[in-house]
Order: sequence, then C-alpha cells, then structure tokens
Amino acid sequence: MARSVKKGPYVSESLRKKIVALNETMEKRLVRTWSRRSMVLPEFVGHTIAVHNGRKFLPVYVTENMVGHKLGEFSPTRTFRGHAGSKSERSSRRK
Amino acid sequence: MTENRIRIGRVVGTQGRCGELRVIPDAKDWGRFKTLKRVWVQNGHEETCYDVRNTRKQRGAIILWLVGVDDLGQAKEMVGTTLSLPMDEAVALDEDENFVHDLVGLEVQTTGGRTVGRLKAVVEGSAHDFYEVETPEGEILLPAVKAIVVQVDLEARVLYVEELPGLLVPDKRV
Repeated sequence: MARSVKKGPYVSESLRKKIVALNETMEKRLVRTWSRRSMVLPEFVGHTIAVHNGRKFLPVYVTENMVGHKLGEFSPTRTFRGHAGSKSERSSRRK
Repeated sequence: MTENRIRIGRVVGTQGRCGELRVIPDAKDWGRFKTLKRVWVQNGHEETCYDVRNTRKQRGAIILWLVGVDDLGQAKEMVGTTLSLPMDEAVALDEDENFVHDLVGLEVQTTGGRTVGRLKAVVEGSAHDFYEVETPEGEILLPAVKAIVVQVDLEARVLYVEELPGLLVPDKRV
C-alpha cells in the first residue's frame, strides 16, 4: 500500500536538518547518510549526498529529475567494474 | 588484441541453430551494431575477420550472424571470444563522454592545483557514474558530474575536480 499523502514524504530528520542548515548558510559540503529510504526533496537539488550502500558511501549529486525517488536508488549495492585489460568501447558520460 | 583495435563486445552464447551469436556490447549505444559491416573475432591469440550477415537486438543482448558461421557447432566454438574493430571505427562519443580506458590512470587535481590522486576505475551508477580515485590516504569516490568533475584534459592526462568539503577525504570507517 502506498504511503498516506497526509503524512508527506519520508525523510530522515537528521538529514533534513543538515540540508536545511546548508541551504540557510548557502554552503555546499558532502553530507553522509545511511538513510537509503529517505525521499529526495526539492531542497536537496544541487547538494552532494554520500549514501551508504552497505559497504561504503557513494557520493550522489542530486539533480531535479531525482526528486521523488529514494536515495537508495542512486547508490548501487552491487557494482560492476567491467572487464579490465584491453581497450573497449565502454564509455562514461559526465552529466 | 592488437594495439590499434578496440573491443566492442563479448560473445556470451549462441542463439538458435543457424550459427547466430549472443553478444553483450561494451558501448552504451546498441545502435552501433546496426551499421556493422565486419568484425574481428579474437580467440586466444588468434584473430579472424568476419563479414556481418545480420544483427538484431534481443533481451539486453545483440544477436549477431556472421558470414561463414552457419551452424550451431561453429557458433559454440566462438563462445567466450571478444569482438573488436580498428580504432578509427570506434563509436563516436559526445562532448562530455570519454572511453573508460582513456580515463583510467588520469591524475586527479583540484581546480586550485592540488594533486589528489590517480583515477583507478569507473563504477557504473543509476544516476551517474562514479570515479574511483586512489589517494595516498586511501580510496575516494567522485560523482561523474560536471558540477564536481569540471574538466577532463586527456592531452595533459589530468582530471580537474571541484574541492567540495568532505568529498576528497577517504572514509576511514570502511
């Protein structure tokens, strides 16, 4: 069952406080969180949040199209580094 | 694989009984297989050039049918091989896109000129990729976004990053 609209989106209180404080001071710094279940709010856009994946913190740069998703969706728990060794067409785009 | 070749995919299985190969492409854009005319198949140290008869996409893989591979037995022998092309036929990249093999080994510097470390690997993510950087203090991860990684200078072999507090410090708890 979907979460009640009356309650609003779930965000870890400590995470929300940290982001609000950064927005008030117009400061940018890495914010660490274990709360993968927290939803990305519009206030988070432009911040870099290090989301724990069970092993380490992955720095996720929040953009507008992430709003409404959970933080955990952007911090993969199973990583694939590709097959090393030769030159391949595997590419990486800076977004 | 010879130095002037670039790998475009791996043969992971066969499809049907006519000799079709199931290929996992390296490039994100699968459309590059539509225009493929020939391909080099590397089996151990042996390299053979084949003309492409037909290609199609199926469930996350490319089905490739090569001229001269006409039955299941021949196709089975090619499972585990890699497919490559001459370097000048590599897929065209966008402005902010780089081959992973070009990025690995780049020196990472802040925009202020401080050397951070060396790029070790590129990890795929759902929102953006992550650059794994080896520093003297330990390993750090950087989000592959223009706001953080401001410039990639392949000629100077340097990657310039914005110095965000907390980002360039390895996590000692892991």
